[in-house]
Amino acid sequence: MWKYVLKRLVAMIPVLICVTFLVFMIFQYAEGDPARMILGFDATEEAVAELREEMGLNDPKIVQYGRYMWNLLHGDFGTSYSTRMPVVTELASRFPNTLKLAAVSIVVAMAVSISLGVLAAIKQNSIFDMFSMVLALLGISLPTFWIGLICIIIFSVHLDWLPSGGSEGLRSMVLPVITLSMNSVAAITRTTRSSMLDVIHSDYNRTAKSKGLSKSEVIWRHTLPNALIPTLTVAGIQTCFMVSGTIMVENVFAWPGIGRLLVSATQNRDVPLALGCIILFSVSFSLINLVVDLLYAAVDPRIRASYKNK
Amino acid sequence: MKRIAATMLTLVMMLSLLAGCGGSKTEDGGTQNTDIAAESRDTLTIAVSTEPTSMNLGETSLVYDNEVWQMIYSRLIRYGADMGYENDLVESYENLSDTEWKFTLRQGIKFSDGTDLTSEDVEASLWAVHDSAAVAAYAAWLDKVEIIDEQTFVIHTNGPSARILMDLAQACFIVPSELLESGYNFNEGPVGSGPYVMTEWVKGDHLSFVANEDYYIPENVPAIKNVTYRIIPEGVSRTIALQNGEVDYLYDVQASDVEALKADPDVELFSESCASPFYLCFNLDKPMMQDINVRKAIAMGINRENASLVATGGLAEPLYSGFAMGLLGSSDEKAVRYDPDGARALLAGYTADELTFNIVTKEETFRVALESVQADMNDIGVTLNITLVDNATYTNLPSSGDYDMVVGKVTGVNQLATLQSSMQTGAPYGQCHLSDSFVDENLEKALTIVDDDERAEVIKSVIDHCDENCFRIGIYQLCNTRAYNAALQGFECNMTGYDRFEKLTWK
Repeated sequence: MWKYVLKRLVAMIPVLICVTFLVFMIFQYAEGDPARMILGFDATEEAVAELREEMGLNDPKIVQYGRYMWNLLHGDFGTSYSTRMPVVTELASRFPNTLKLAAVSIVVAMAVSISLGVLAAIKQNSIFDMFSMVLALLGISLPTFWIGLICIIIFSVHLDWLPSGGSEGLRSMVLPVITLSMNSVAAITRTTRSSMLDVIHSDYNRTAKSKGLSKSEVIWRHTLPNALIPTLTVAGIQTCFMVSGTIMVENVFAWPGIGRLLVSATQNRDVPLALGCIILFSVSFSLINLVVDLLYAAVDPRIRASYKNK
Repeated sequence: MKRIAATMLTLVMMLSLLAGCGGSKTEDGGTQNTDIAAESRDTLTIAVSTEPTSMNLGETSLVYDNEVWQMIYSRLIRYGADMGYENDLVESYENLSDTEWKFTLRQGIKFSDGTDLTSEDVEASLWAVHDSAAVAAYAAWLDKVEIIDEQTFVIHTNGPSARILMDLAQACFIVPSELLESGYNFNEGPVGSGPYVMTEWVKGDHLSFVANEDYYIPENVPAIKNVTYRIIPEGVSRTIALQNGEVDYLYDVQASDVEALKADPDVELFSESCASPFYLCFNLDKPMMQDINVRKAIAMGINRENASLVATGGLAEPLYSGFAMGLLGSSDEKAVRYDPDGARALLAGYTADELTFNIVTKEETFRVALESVQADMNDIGVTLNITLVDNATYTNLPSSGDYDMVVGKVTGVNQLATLQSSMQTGAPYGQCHLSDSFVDENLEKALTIVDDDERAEVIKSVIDHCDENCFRIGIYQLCNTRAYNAALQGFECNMTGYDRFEKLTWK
């Protein structure tokens, strides 16, 4: 099993190289001059040209990329063009906030959606089932931005229960978590319901019932584990979206996460900072996918055995 | 089933706990959290849309950075509420000759690290601005600083300079010379002599300040001892935060929220024109833009009242000149007025293809205004294609030249500096790509005129020339719009848009 984990970690390296190369080249060909962005409107053309030379921006693109990767290999992510602070410092101040929000959101989403999905499958075609599917449809259809603003209007403005934004304390996480998890709840609920329905009428379930096991034991010990694989896949994908796609939520709730940092870095052509964010996302996605694969093994002994054989 | 019911009951109990932690609303529909109101007498929370980028002198001249800088750093002189000069660090100054200015510092000024502020610090700070690639224009006049004693020095300029006082009042902040020489990174902990001391900067979230009890102007020692700058990018979120009592002051007010804030009895709204024109600039490298009839027709075709109504709810005053009104040398005498019939007459001989242009902006609010302009242009037979670009692409426009027209804003009380940076041949921010000998010669002349009235005449002549030729036209003049808790008093904001938070008190 450890060999499998190690192989997957090593496989991340070519992925990171491809991603950084692509993003780096896109920035090179995008319009905008980082030197002018750093110095601002009042700087003369001569000053901008001097800075470009100093930063090595006139070197061939492949040389610039090689230099960046060489520094990266030595743990140097570079210095942000806009803040003049080490990229690592900037990322370290924001990424934990995004991780916190994403982690709590996915846990809440999983807890709610698995329960809803299982119940909807058990009570197929009932009012509860229809209600769950309508909720799922709304969760997928409504824009995150709109959900966030509605939550603020209801819970902050009218009810005055929760703060409208910020990152101080647990209370300030409630609305961003609800907003971020809505879409995931919808997707995971539908997947869970669908995969539960696939297995709920299977022979081993009938056998378990006829053995005299209670309904809840049949559902939670026999049916759900066999239905979890697609759910875990969707949960993994949703977690990746949460880590990288929190920009809307961060803007609405003034949450100091990495989404806003990446957007700002891109708009200002702050290449080191943007690349730092992208690398972080790539590593996160790879690790999330690895965790999902390991969870497959935890849930399904057949998959566990196949990993061991690898 | 029982388990589900138990879980639901637990959730309801937890939610009711949260509800119990909420605040109260007043009967008249205002929002007032009485618990927060009691605590906030010693605190002020300000909501801004954009985080400052740097605390290092000479790295930036952006408005949001300067607003924070003037809380923690000081200048020799500053602009007062009426845009006249006020002594700040200095107790007096005099003009000894065309190229010599003598300044005497106040006694006993200390930086926040306890060291004394002396003439040496002034010298080092001015040279730091002069040598900085980003803001060198704000001390380009500097020849040398002659130190007489710790409190007295003479600034020698490299020729008669009209800009010295304006630049000293706007961009020349004073910091410790030792820290400058050692290459200290002020982002890690700014050291200044301003009315506040920055104690914390949580990137993307907030900045915290405490009052500087040793501030050298005793009557300006802040009454509100703790200030927090909260970064809230979304406009409607900022408005809700103010109305909920989570913040006390909005530095940026979204235009669409103005009516709601006006109707809130617990909120005061302030809106006055600032030194920032929303302008439209023609790219004079493009053949059709070189035709004065086309430029004049476009200027005549814009209904500025409509554009302001659509984009700012009518708060902004229509602007005809390409340069802000209310400043030294401002004029709109020769600016072209709204006359759609006249515009159509001027464009009578042109084809539809010839009158199709692209116009670029980087701000959503301006894009909204441009939609009104687009409709006006349709009326006179001009097709405008609006392109919204990001900050980097927009900043690169003068180099790329890939536009017919561009709209933008520039905040600056110094008309001379604005003209230099935008209209002079080879100007760093020359979106017009103008090369005009009348403009160049008169700007050079104005730079050497120290007398304000005489200089104002020359600046006016340049502005009139630019307006007459429609190199750059105005659409509306932007406003400093602020909203704050009605329990605050002492509000002061001048045309520069820098608010004096140290003067605020709670009623």
